[in-house]
This record gives sequence, structure tokens and C-alpha cells, in this order.
Amino acid sequence: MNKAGKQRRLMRKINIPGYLRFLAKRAIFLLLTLMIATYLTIIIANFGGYIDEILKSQIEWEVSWELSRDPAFRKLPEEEQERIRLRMIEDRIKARGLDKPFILRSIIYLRDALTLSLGRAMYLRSAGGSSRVADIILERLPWSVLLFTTGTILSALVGIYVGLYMAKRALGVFDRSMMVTAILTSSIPAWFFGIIFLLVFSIQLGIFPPGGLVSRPHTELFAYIIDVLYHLALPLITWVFASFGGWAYVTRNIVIQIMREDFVMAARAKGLPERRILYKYVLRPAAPPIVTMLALAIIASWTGAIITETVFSWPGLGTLYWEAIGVMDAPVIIGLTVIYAYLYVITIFILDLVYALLDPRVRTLGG
Amino acid sequence: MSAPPVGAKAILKEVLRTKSGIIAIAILAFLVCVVVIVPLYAPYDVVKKWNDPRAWLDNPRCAAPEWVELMVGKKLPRTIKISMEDFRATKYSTVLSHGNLTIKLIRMMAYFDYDYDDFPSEFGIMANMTCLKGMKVDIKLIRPDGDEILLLSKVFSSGESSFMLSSGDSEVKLIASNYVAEVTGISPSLRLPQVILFAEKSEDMWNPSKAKVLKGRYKIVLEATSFTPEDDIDLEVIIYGKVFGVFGTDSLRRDLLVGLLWGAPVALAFALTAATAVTLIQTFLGIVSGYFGGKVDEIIQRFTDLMMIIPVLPILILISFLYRIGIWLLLVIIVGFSIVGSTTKVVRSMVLQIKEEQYILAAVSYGASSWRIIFRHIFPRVLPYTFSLIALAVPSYIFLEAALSFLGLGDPVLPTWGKILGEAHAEGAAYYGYWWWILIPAGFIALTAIAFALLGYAIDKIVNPRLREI
Repeated sequence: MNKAGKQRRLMRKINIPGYLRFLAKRAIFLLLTLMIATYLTIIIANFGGYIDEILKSQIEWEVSWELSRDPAFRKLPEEEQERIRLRMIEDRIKARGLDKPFILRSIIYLRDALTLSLGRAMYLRSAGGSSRVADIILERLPWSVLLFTTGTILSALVGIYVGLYMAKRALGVFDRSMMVTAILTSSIPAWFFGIIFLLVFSIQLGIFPPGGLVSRPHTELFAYIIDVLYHLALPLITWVFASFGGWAYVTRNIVIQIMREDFVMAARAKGLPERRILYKYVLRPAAPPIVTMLALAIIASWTGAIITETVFSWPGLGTLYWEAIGVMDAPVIIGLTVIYAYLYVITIFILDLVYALLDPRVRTLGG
Repeated sequence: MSAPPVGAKAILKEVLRTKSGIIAIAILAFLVCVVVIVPLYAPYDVVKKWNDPRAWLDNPRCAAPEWVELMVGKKLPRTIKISMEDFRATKYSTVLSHGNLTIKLIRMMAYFDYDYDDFPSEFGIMANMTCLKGMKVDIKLIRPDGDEILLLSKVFSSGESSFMLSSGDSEVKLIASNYVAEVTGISPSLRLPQVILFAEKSEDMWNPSKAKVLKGRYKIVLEATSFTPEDDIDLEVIIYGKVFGVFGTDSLRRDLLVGLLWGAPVALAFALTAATAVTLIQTFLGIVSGYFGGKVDEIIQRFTDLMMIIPVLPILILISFLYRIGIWLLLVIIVGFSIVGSTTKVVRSMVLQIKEEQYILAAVSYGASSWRIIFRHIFPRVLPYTFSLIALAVPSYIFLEAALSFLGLGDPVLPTWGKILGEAHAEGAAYYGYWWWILIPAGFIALTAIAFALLGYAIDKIVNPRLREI
């Protein structure tokens, strides 16, 4: 049978209205989840409205200070002074929208967040001096992606390769020792290895720099890139070291499970070479769960890892989040959470979409 | 393949048959011993002083553990304390009067033997006095080679009640550098009294890496002159060493042994409670979801999906920063955020299979209530599996607490391993080479996490038949 024919048969089997209904259901649910997660963050990040009070008293102070430096104002009678002061405060509070109750404003915040109009940061600025939350986040995003996405893909590749090797010689010496390594490294987070690696490799042995992005400002692009790569090395190694064991463990277990399936036995009985069995019969069914995990891990890696980045003073989104918390910059905190939630939800939706197409059980659901 | 064992005892027996199980149980037994020792070595009132810097003044700052000696092969200085009682034992005072002039002379002296291969890290002199009409105080250090160094010669006015002198004071540094100039004729580029005063006379006596320690008996002499018989003075001297105790000290002179020992029950209680509560609640909701099906199932499953998407760690960091909560409230919040999760999903799928089994149908047929079936027939079946989940979840909670403490968001009172580690990082312990301050708490955290991970793995292999075959 040719490929086109196969495709047509497959399409006929899909119950299109049922499939669409399934997708619509999922989309509504994910949107609802997104809203709840965002709203929760808004409430917490604004301290349940407390930030508003801080802002109001700040405005009051600003106004009084400005007026007290105005000689014309000081000549006015006292009642007049008070009246002007109060009116200015009221105007400014209104201008910033602080006169509405917090519940109402939180709904506005939610609408803004969901439409990705992230507004302006209260204190933090981008390196270029912009106070737009989007600018601040976009400036940091590449560094998190560079470190953690590279690290996640690298550790998945290493882990999958090691896992395959383990499965091939299951219960051998290599398998057993890797198993222990995997359990130990995957139960310890990367930031923890980071502290120890920094102490040993950077401070004691002096092989790597003690954190940061560059050691000094560069004018030459090439030298800059080399310096960044040099600073990237240790956090990257740490990340790969901390997470490859988990990949190896999972891959090994999935592969061993599939190797016991009848169709693999049949392929063996047919006398196919072991290599061909591994790549054509075992890896194919093993791919979907591993790809799912990889997709979710990469999404999660975009937000960086707050503590790992702090340990290495890596200027990514994780450090940004920590800085934003440190100065209670609610718009930045909310912006980061929303971006993260969006990425996550979209990935899940795409995975749903693909799985529903691939999995006959899901495909005919509701039809 | 035999059926998976049921019941805690049977599982423990099986666990002890595996290598990883034995290692895990051994580490846990060690930790339990630590927990038992804690109240004996450091009762709670010692720990209450953990954040009180005055409680630790007798300890050296950033001192390495004592067993470092074995590694460097040198006798490293311990802290020498000459208490007020020691001085009082040698106190000699006379009152001379002539007409309406009264003079009281006080003299006391104490000595200590210094035969270590390294210099002290600091020294400090404290005095309490009753001074009604003014007092002149001279304090001298007499070295084993006979040199006398006047550390203090000062007239105190009436009403003063105490003074302190330490190796970090600029007057003491000046005295030390004058002494070098007197001996060698050159003025030193580094002025470290704790080195100069304890060094053999040479050109390099100011240079900590070249100077040689002058071993022998040092004397400290105090002479005071005052004008009423009521005046008195008491002296205390501490020569801070470079090593201390089993685990050393931190930059606030705190004995890390106390903090690390107390970290054990705190970490275990926190992580075990969190892991147990979260796993059991999730298991229960998973059973309910799987057993009842229908609307209940739909609600619990959607709620689980929702909670699994919410970014919990950032929110936890946010909450602990804004509200400055203690460790036990944090525990409650963590449990609150994880009443549903991956365990709910796994248990639900297990229950979907279990509830079709004949013994459940039999129970239904003789009229057992749903809750009876859930607690008497389904829960015991799922329980062994939850044991492994609890054990596997413990490390993540240990590290969660450590992570929050590391960021400075931990419990404000109790010392925890993460807090000690975080302080070490914040004070740049790695940079200064205070490795014990980092590696020992890190070792404790890692050891505990590894023990539970191995235990969870061992139980998992026993109760999870799929893994048993492999």
C-alpha cells in the first residue's frame, strides 16, 4: 500500500466533529486554567491590594515634597495650600487608576495580562533604560534560553543515549552503576550541584569563572562571545550533570518495556539485525512519551531556574524574577508568570492536538 | 513472579534484601541517632540563642573543624580563654593612704602556653570595672623571649564600667607595628597584631606566610592605680584559635555543630510531614476520583490539571518573601498547593483497574458501603505504592526548604541546613575558602536526600511488579 492511501484511510477513520469537540473542550479548559493561574499570581503579587496602599502613600509624599519646594505655593494661605495638595494627590491617584477598588483593578490587570499588554515596571529597568515589562523580559529571555534550553536538549540527548545503552545490556555492570548514578543525581537539584561545583572547579581549581555573564566589558564581538561561552560552561555542565540521569532512567525503562512486547519478539524471531530492531521497532513507540517530556522540559527551561541562575549570577529570567520579588515589582512578576503560563498552556494544547491525531483511543473520543 | 508484598513489615524485610535498601536504612538510622543526640548535646535553649550574636563570643570566627589538623599535619591553635576567675586568683591589691590621699594598687597576672604551629586568628581583652574616681590601667603582654609589650596604658575617668580591646583595633595595630619597627628597624606593610605579637623575632615577623610562631609561655599582666579602696577591675582574655569543634564555626562565631544537629530534626520533620501529607491526600483524592467516576472524577481531574499547570515554586518564593512566614506555615501552604497532583492521576488509573476486580465486586454484592470499600479494600492495595512515593518525594521537599532558605526566605528562628548553606553563600564562604561551611551542610542535605531516594527506589522495585521483572 502506498503512503497516500494510508493517509486517506487514516483520515477517514478520524471522527472530525468529535475531534473538534475534543479540541474545543481542551482549549476552553486550558484558557480557564491560564486565567486562574494568572489571577492567583496577580492577587499574591499585589499583596492582596497592599501594593496599592504603598503606591498611594508614595504619591502623597511626592506631592508634598514637590509643593514644599515651590516658593509660590508657600506664599498661599494655609487652607488654600491644603486644598491644592489634596487635589493634586487625588488627580495623580486617578491618573494611575488607583481610585478604583482593588478587586475591580485586579480584573483589569487580568485582562491586560491575558492580552499580553504587560505595562510598565515599577522599579526595574532594562539595560537600555526602558521600563516596559516586555522589554525587560525580552532582554533577559535569550540568556535563559541559551543556558537552559541548550542544557536541557544536551542532557536529554546524553541521557537518551546512555539510557539506550543501559537497556541494551540491562542488569549489566554499566546498567547498575548508571542506575545508582541516575537516582542520586536526579534527586539532587542543579543549584545544589552548582554551589559545590563553584567551590571546587571555580574557586579551588580556578578552571571556570565564579559566575556572571562576562568578566569585563568587551568592545570586540568575537572576544565577547568567547567570554560568554567561557562563563556559560560551568552552569551548562552543572545543568546537564544534574538532569541527564533522569533522562537515562526513563529512557531505559521505556525501552526495556517495549523490548518485551510481542512485536519486538516477532521481529527478533524473523531474524532482523538487533540495530534495526532498536531503531525501527523500539525507538518508534518510545518516541512519543520522550518527546512529550522533552517539550515540557524545554518550556519549563525558558523561565530559567530561579535558584540555579542566582547561584551562578546568570542574568536570565530566573534572576529577573528574584530581583522583581526583591523590590516587589508586581508588573514584572505578573508578566513573567503570564508568559510562562502561556508557553506552558500552548505547548500542552499542541501536544493534545498531536496526540489526538496519533492515538486512536483519543481520536474517536466523543464520536 | 510473586505477588507484591503488602504491609509495612513485609516491605521493610524486602527492602533490607536489596543493596540500596541497606544503604538507605543505614543512613536513616544514623540520622535518627543524630536526632536523638540533639537534645542531649544542644538543648532547645541553646538553639534559641542561634540568632543572638552575643551568645557566641567565646568562639573563633570562621574556624575550620579540629580534625583538619590531620589533613594539614600541623597543630592548629585552639581558642584559649583566660576567664575572670583565672585572673582573680592572682589578684593582689594594696591600699596606701597618706593624709587624705588614698591610692589603691591592683596587680594581676595570668599565663598561657602557646605551642601551636599557627598564629591565632584574633585576640580580645575585656574588662569590667568599678571606677569611682578615675583609674589608670596598664596591660602588658610578656612574650616567652622576655619582651614586654604594653598593650594598653590608659586613664579611665570616673563612671566607666567596662572596656574592650581587640586585635582589630587600630591602637593595637599601631602598637604591633611599632614593635616590629623597634625589633627590625622597618615598618611592616601588614599590621596583624595576632601574628606580630606571637612571632619569632625576624625580618618577616609581620608576614603571616613567612613568620614563625614563637612557642612557649606568654604572660598577661595588668596593673591598675586608682584613688578609692572601692575601685576594682576584672579582666578576661580570649586568644581565638583557627579550629573549633567537630564542624567549625561561621562568620558569626556560631558552632556549626549545633546548627547542623538541629537541622536534622527540622529537615526530617518538615520533609517527612510534607511528603506524607501530600502523598496521602493525593492518593485519597485519586481513589475517590477513580472509584466514584462521573462528575466527581471530572471535577477532581480538571482540578488536578489546573494545579499541575500553576507554577508553584515562583508562587511559594513570592509568598515567603512577602509574608515572611515560618517553616511550619510554609509546610501548610505547600500541602495546600499540592492536594492534587501527579499521584492523583497515577492512583486513579490504578483504582480504575482495581475496582473491576472480583473481590471488590464481591464486597459490593454483600452491600458494603462505598467508603468501607475505599478504606478497607482499595486503600490497602494502593498503600505499598504510596510508601515508595512518600520516600521519593522526601528529597524534593528537603531541597525545597533548602532552596527557600538559600534565598534567605527560610524560617526566621530555627537553624536549618539550607539556611546555613545560604548564609555561607551570601558571606562568600566559597571565595574565602571556608569549605566546611558549605560542604558539611551540603553533605547533610545530600546524604538525607540520597537515603530517601534509595529507599524509595528499593520500595518501588518491590511493590511495582513491572519493575520487579526487569
